Amino acid sequence: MKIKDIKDKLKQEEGQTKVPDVLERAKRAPINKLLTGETPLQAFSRTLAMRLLVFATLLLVVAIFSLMAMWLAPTHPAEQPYCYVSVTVLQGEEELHFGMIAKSDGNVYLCCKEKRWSFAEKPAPMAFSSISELYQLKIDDKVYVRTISDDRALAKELEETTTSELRSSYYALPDFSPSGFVLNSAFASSVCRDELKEYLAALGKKVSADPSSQELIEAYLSLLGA
Amino acid sequence: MNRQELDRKMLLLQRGDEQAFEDIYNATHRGLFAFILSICRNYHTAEDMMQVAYIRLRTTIASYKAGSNAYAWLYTIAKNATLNELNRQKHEALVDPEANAERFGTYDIEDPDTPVASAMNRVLNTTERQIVTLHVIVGFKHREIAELLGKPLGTVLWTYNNALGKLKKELNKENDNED
Repeated sequence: MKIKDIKDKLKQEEGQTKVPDVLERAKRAPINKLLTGETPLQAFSRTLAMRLLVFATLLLVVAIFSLMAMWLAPTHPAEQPYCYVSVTVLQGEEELHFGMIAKSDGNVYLCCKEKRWSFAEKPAPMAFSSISELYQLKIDDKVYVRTISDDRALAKELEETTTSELRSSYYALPDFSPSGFVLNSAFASSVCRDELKEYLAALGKKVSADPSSQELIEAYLSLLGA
Repeated sequence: MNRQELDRKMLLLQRGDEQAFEDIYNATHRGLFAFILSICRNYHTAEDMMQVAYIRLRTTIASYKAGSNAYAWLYTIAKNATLNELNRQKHEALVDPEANAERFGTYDIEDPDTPVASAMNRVLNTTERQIVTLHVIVGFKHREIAELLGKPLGTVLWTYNNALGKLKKELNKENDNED
């Protein structure tokens, strides 16, 4: 058999072969989604554009929500309770007044010497962390420590800390006498509250008729510009 | 249908023209079936793969680029689908493929009415069968076959001539036996 015959015979056999018809079955499959006739590049661009649009919309929504959150959020952070520690020292004929503001964590925020009463003068805040750095204890001093705060536990803690510190300072004096030191203390003291209120009034700082400790302390802080 | 006409039909199909799909099918299904059959040698697998090839043609027509070789594109789809299916069948097989020749398509076409095709299935390997089928039955030029199969033109020519030689020898041997 020649090659040509083989080819002819192969073609002839193929012509006799029954070819299955899958046209109808294949037609059930969807033609590519791009029925509009756009090229793959165009389709890609369209998809990309859609994604960018969605992304931009999401970004806009996030921005709007952020602005709303900023608008709705309180202007000032939540106010934490402060503690005011008043230290009054009778040093012979002289009367000294010190005021300390402590934060809710117990750390002293500022400490200053107050001037009362004949001439009310705005006290200057000082960068002291404790009363002993501001005031040098003497052997005959009579010291009164009073604290006020909306946080009663904080007031008590500061009262104890301050008196302990003063007592330590006194015992560190070379000529100290165990019975010679007068140290009185009170926490959540109404006397202290009234005195602070009067002091603020003398300095022209108005507070409500029945102010809370926090309000008084904040007025005191605003007076100091702190 | 020549290449330009097929290319035009492909572009129409891209636009969702169902008639274009029918025209493409009518122009190509016979050759495509022979080509798939030359790979898998199983009528039913070839039928399934032809269906898969046309489904893929429809679903991926958007990636067809105007002016490219539409025949090569369609035949490549069919070849890949068939080879994948054969691999899948082999991986899924829990039995020896040699012992289940019918299932895996070996010598499935052993028809006394088609002695040349039967001889082709017996003595030629897959590549030889593809080349002979594409050239003799489908009518592809050797250059196009080389492009489609990703082989050098020289290799395709050599393989083709060698395959026909093997076929001739086999058929002559059969004739001698009959005599």
